Amino acid sequence: MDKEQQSPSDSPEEPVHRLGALHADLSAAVERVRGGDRGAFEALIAGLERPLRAWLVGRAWPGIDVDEVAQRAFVQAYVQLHRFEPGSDFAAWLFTLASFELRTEMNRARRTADYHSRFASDLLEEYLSRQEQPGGEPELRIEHLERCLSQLDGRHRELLGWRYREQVSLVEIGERLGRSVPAIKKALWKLRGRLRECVELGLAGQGERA
Amino acid sequence: MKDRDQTNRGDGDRGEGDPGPDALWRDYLEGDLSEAGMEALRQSFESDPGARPGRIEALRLHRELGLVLSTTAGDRADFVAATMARLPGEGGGRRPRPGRWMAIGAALAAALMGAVLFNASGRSPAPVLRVIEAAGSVEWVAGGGQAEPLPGPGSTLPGGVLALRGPDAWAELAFNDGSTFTLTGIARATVSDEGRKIIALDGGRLLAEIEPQGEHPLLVFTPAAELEVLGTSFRVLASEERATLDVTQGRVEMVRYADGRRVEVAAGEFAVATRSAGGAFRSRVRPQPTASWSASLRSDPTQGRFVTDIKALKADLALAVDRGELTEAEALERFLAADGGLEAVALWKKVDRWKKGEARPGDLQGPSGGPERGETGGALIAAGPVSAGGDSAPVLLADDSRILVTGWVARPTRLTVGLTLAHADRRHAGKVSFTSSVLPGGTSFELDLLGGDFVPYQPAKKFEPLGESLPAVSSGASTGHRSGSIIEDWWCLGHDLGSGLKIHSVVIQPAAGRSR
Repeated sequence: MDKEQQSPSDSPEEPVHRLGALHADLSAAVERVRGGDRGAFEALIAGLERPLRAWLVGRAWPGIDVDEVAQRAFVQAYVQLHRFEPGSDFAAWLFTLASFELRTEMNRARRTADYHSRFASDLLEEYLSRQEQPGGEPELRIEHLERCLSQLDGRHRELLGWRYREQVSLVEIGERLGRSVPAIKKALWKLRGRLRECVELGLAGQGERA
Repeated sequence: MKDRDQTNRGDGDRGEGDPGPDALWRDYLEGDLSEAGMEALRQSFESDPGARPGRIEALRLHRELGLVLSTTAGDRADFVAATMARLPGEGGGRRPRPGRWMAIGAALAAALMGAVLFNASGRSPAPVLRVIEAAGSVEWVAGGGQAEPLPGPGSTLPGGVLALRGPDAWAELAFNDGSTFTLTGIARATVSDEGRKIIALDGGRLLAEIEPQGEHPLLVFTPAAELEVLGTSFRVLASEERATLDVTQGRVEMVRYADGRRVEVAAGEFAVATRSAGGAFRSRVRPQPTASWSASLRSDPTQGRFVTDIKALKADLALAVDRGELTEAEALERFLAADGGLEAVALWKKVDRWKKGEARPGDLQGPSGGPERGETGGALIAAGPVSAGGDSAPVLLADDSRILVTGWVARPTRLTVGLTLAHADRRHAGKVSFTSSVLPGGTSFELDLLGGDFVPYQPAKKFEPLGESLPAVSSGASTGHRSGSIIEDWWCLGHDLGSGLKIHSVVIQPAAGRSR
């Protein structure tokens, strides 16, 4: 575990090679920023926020605000841009900065010991940091997940929307549907299981429907 | 597929009285797992490694759903805009609403300038505050700009800046209408009352009981959010990156600067505003108190040390890189680990000062006999929050609570372990401490304490010189601490400057199973 923690840049390359198509655009934007065009940094954020957040959610404990971590990584990249070596991979460099930011946030969570980190701090960190990308890269997983979600029927999409988009409490969802909280938990668990299967099939090139 | 089969194999159908590990995992993901369930899940996780990959996959999909379903195209555009607004430099500033912060600064500057002008005309500025109680290193900067020790209880003050320099410090003040507020730990707040009460909290923990304010609510500004308070009790923990609000009575409106969104937080609820526009920003019910808590700092580069000056930290790290003492990656890691403004550089500086002749000879000798850098050998103090508010369940202290502190010291030294306590309604309840006998140097230590070992802490008025300001060794026999209080934070002081204190873990548990 210590070795893992001392090698924060061990895995950021994983999701980055898929960004090759972006590389030329990113390099041009980096050069413009280095030349004083602050606004050009917006193109870097727009091009990389999605893959970066997708990568972070696969590695962060629940309870870690990945948007905050991602923003801090972008800010660090901007501040430290003079240290970036022109011609090298900006995305890989950004992901390395993000891995430092993520560890910082996990340290903070470990110190404050909130709901998730009381359980997760040591046990989950080891697995999340070691985790191979089992079915491909994080952004690809997100694309498959979006496709799988689109194949669910409206009733199930509504349930997931309440839970994840609107963050409605389980009690309130139960009241809306006239079902108990344990039943809602079970329904969500089953839906996630179906989506996992769909994503994995998709990554294996076999998934056609959820 | 085997793993998924394991996680799906239906023990979620068990009755509520006999939840299987997968049902526990399901409850955990839903944020609905009790303390006992958490412990059962931990045991299950440790004893059944074969089930872990499937559970991790379930967790991963749960997180990915959160990303996909809570992020519309508009949200992504907001993310880009909010990130751009956080970039330093021309035009953007660090916050998306610089105009708001300019207004805050102008309001406070006008209030404090009023005090200066009154002084210049020979009249005393109108007092708006009264000192109720203070302890530790607490400074007051009035309109004239001169930092002085906070005057004693009963003294009256105009608007100004209240700065607490040590984790063992606290100060309680009252406005003229009887509203009171307490700052604890390392904290800084600018306070004024020119027809409207304003507290600008740069960082630290503020607890307040505010009388009804009529048409002009009290405003509390933090780096991440603004609070509007009509009359209530609340607690806010602020850092450069986030503000955590817990409301005890009444209601408080919280405005997140990143996007201007507002939430109303009622009694028994909390909300967290971060500097980013993403993430949940809503009021939620505060978790129930717990009797167990732990912090593992072994892999934390700060190992609990305090830093109060981020700019100084940057400068020190840059210097270390120039000298070849750290790589850039190591320096960056240390900088990023020094999150939240509650870190260690002030102590590095203190060590440097002492190195230059103000320290007692020998205090700064490392284990090798030579002077040590503060980062490795001069870490005099470690500290961290316990009941940090928000998602963190309040942690209760009882006479028979077990407090286990493990760490390492380079040189023989005594250690003082301190706790900041709050009443159930989160009002400040004082600080308690335990001081050890001399621990051997160059080795790990383990302090296995009971809640009853802690006695009321009596810090010196000034925080330095550290080694001379510590209280006498306690007998451990007193039960003077306030059993049933909530533990707000912990800290640990090494009595000798070269003690090289590192804290590996702090654990608080109920007494069950303890043998002494």
